[in-house]
Amino acid sequence: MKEMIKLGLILFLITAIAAGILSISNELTAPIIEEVEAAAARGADVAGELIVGGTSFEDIELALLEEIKEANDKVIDVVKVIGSNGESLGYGIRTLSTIKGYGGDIELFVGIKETGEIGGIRILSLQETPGLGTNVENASFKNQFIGVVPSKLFEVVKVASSEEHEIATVAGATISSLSFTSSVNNAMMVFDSFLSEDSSGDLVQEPEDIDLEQQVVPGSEKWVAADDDLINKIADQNNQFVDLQLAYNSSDEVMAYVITTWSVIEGYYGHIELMVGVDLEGAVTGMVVLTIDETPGLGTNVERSDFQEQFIGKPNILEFQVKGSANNDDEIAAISGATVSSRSFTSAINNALEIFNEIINQ
Amino acid sequence: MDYIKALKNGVLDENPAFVQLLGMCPTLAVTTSAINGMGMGAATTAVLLGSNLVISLLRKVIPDKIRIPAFIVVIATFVTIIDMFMNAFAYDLYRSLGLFIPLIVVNCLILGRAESFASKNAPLPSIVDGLGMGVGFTLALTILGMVRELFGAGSIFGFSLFGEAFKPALVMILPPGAFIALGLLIALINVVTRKHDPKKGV
Repeated sequence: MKEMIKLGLILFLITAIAAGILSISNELTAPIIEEVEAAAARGADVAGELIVGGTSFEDIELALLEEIKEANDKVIDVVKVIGSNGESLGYGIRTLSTIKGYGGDIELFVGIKETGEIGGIRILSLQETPGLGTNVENASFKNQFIGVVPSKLFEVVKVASSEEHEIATVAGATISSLSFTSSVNNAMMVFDSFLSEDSSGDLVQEPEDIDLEQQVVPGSEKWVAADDDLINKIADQNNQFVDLQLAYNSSDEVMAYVITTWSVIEGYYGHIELMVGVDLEGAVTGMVVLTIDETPGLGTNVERSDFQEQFIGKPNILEFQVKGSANNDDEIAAISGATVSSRSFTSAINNALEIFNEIINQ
Repeated sequence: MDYIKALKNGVLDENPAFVQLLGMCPTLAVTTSAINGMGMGAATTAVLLGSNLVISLLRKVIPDKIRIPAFIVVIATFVTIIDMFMNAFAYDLYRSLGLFIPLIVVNCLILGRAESFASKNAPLPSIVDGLGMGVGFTLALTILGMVRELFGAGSIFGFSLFGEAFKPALVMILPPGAFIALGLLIALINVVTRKHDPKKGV
């Protein structure tokens, strides 16, 4: 008993002294740490990094900030960037990524000038694989965004063309590149919907107000539901089939069929529903996605026109094949990182072609 | 006590990472670049020096029965101090080493030296032992970091050595590369040291 008290006392003494030393060093370092972290997030050099000429930050109205945070749960903070003469240069938007990286969300501080131009980007939190995913910090990747006045959201591609909104991935780090870009895109959407003076919601464009059928069959003027017998016959033979319409041109002739169908192969999150136009020669004229639940920014890239254009205007093809890269007419290059979604999408197109070739055209 | 011999012991004969294979978690995890390896080694050395000194001073005060919790408290205190000071004065390094700083507490190298050396020896030899082991650990981590950075990213200490055309072997900075590089380095060291001591044979 006596020994236990003695041991306890000694241990208590050691821990007490340790606690004392720790509190002293905490006392010493806490103000410096606070300063360093404040400088890392809100210092003058940060303001200058976000927008050239920026020297300080200023809070935006609390009500606006709360409205933004209400609408967009990835946003952490929004501040005004102030120049040396006290003039407002633009905004700094602190946001997480909407697509997760390998090590969780990437947190960026994105500077957007009042004109909508991306002024600069500071990385606040990034836990990607060191030396691989962390390469998104390299100037060569980051600079792709800077100076762009985006007319649409950035897209990640393997090899960037001259299009301003295309971002070339870091080699070996597609996921980190996607995550980084999604964070920039989120900042842009916040700017566009809440902060920009001249436009609101331009980036998240709704498709223009034209009929879906017209998008699917360009040049068509009138669409009539196919007769019930045919529809019933197709529905009997094909489980994915939803609907069939005839598309007429301006001289009142049938020019194509508009087939609505689900995919045969499941995507990542269920089936994809497409409206597909097939002309009288069996070539795809166009398509519109009606239902899709794929990963935003990844699987949803099947909605991109450069993917969809691969199907269009190719008669005499009965079935498209999804490949890593397309060499033949019947081969479709999969969206990188979204092979499953690409397959599912393609299976819906193939089903529409099957309906056309084996039932309608017989 | 021969201090030179004690230093050499830590750096070469009983190198913590390459010979004793102690502290493998930081050795494998943070050596994606030379600077990270060096920073981790320096932080570990600082903790090792402090804990060896204090434990050696307290070796007659701490009863045998509670030595392990007492050692851990001492080590944890030093690690926390290092953590705070790095956060305050070396913010970039602090951010890149991140999680691994608190983990120094459970680095078996430090507890191992406290248990096997500092708790049985006077303060000065304990400091020398800590210095030798710390330098040995730092050197090992730096070399490993250099090798991995060279092959995995084509640079050393952040300076690019090859042109744009160089395609780095990314696997070297991924976890498998840590094992591969460490294994090859240990093999190399064994070959070299055995040449000097033919009696040991193969």
